[in-house]
Amino acid sequence: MSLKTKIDLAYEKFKQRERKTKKQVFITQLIMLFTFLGLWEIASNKTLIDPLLFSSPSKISNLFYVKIMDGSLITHSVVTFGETIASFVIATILGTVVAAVLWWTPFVSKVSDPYLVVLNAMPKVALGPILIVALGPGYLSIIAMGVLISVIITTLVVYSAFHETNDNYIKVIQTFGGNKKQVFYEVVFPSAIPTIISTLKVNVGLSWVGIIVGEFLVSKQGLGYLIIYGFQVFNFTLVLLSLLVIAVMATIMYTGVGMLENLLRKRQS
Amino acid sequence: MAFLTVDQLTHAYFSTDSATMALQDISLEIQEGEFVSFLGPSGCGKTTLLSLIAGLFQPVIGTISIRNEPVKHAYDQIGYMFQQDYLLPWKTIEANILLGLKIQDNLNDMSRAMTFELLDHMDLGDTNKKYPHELSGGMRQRIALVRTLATNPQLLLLDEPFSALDHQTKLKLENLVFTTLKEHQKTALLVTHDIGEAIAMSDRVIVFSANPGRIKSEYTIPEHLAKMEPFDVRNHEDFKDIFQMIWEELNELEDED
Repeated sequence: MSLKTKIDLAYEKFKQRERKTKKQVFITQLIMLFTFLGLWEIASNKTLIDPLLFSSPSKISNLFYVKIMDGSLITHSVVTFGETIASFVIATILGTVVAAVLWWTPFVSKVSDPYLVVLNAMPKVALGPILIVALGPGYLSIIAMGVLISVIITTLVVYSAFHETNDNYIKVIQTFGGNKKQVFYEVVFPSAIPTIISTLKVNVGLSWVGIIVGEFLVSKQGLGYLIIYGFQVFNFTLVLLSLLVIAVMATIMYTGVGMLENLLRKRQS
Repeated sequence: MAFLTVDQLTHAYFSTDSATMALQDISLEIQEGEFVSFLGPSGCGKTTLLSLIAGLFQPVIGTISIRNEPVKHAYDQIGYMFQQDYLLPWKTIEANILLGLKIQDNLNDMSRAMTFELLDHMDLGDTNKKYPHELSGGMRQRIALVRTLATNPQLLLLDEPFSALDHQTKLKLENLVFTTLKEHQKTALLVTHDIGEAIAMSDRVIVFSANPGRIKSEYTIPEHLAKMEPFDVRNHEDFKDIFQMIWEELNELEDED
C-alpha cells in the first residue's frame, strides 16, 4: 500500500469519527428536548406542577394552531418583529453617526463624556412614561423605547473603536496628503466595521427588551401585549406561547447578524 | 541648491505633566538624488524628524524646506515607508497600491497602468485581486513599496522598513529598494539602527545621539561602495573598517549616557 492511500484511509477514518460525533451531539440534543417536553406534559397532566401556571406542551401547541388559523398570532408577531427591526436599525445608525461626530470633534467628545456615562448608567426603561406622554401611546413610543435602550451603548462602543484606530493606518493616509474626511472614510470607519457588527449582536437582545417593555406599557398589538393580556386573564398558555415565538424570532435575528459577521470576516480577516 | 534643508530645528512633545525635548538644534542639507541614513539608538528622535519632514506636524522652533519651499502641510512630493507594511487589510492589493493616487485625486488610466507595471516589476503582478493577509511579510513590504512609489514622490522617507523582516528577506529587499530608487533617481532618507544597513545602502550616514536627539557625526561612504548594491557592499573588504568606526562611535555615545 502506498503512502498516499494510507493517508487517504486515515483521513477517511478521521472524517467518519467527526461525522459520528456530530450525529451523537444532535441526537442527544433531540432526546433532551423530547424528554423535557414529555416530562412537562406528564407533570402537568398529573398536577405535579400547577397546570394553570405552567400550562403544558399540548395546550400550547393547540393554542398555537388556533391562533395561526385565525391569523392573530401572525399579526402580533409581524408588528413586534417590525418594531424590533426598526428600533435595531435606527439605534445602530444613530449610534454610529453620533460616534462619528464625537470622533470628528474631540472638543464635543470631551464635553459630552460625563453626560454619556450618566445616560449609559441610567435605566432607560424608567423613561417609559415620559416617552408615552411625549410621543403618544403608539408605535412611535415603543420604537423610541427600543432605540433609547441601545443607542447610548452603541455610541460608546463604536466611538471607542473609532478612537482606537491604529495610528499608523491614519499616518499612511496623511503622508499621501489625505484630509480628515479621507482619513475617516478610508481607515477609521472600515477598521471599526467588525466592532459595529458585534454591537449589532448586543443590540438584537437590547432591542427586544425595549420593544417588549414598550408593548407592556402601551400597545394593543404585538407579542408584549399578548403577554400582558395573558397575564391579566390568567391565560399562561398564551404567555408561554408568546415567549416561545419571541425566542424563535430573536434567534433568527441573531443568526442573521452572525451570518453577516462571518461574511465580513471572511472578506477581511 | 540643496534639495532638502533642515535649519536649526528643535522639537519637543508637550503633555499636561511635562515638555519632553525630542530633537535639539538639527541642521542638515540633502542633495537631490542622495541616499542618506539616520543612524542612532532608540529615543534619538529619528522618527520624529521624518514625520516633521513629511509635514505631519510642525516643529516648535526652526524650519524645514524642500527646494526652498517651507514644508507647511503634508507635502505631496514625499513617500513614506513604515516599519511594517500597514496595507489596509480590508482592501485588495489593487486598491491598496492605488490608495495614494486616489487620495491625491490623480487616479487615471495612465497612473493606474504605471502602478501595475511597478507591481509586475516586483514579480507580484498576479496578486492584485488578493487580500494582504494572503501574502508573506516580504511580499507585503514590497507591495508597500509599490504603494509608496505609485504617487511618484521625489523624496522617500524610509522609517526602518526592513526591521520587521527575517534576515534573508531583509537583504533581498535592501537590494530591491536600492536599485528601484536609483533607477527612478529618487532622493531618500532611511531611518535605521542597523549599522550595516546604513553603510550598505547610503551615500552618507548621519549619526544621532539620544535624549534629546542631536547630530553627533557624519560619515560619507566612499564612492566605490556607495555605487554598489547593498549586498555586495556588505561583502566588500572596506565595509568592515567603516563598520568598526561607526560601531565605536555608537559605543562612545552609550558610555556618555
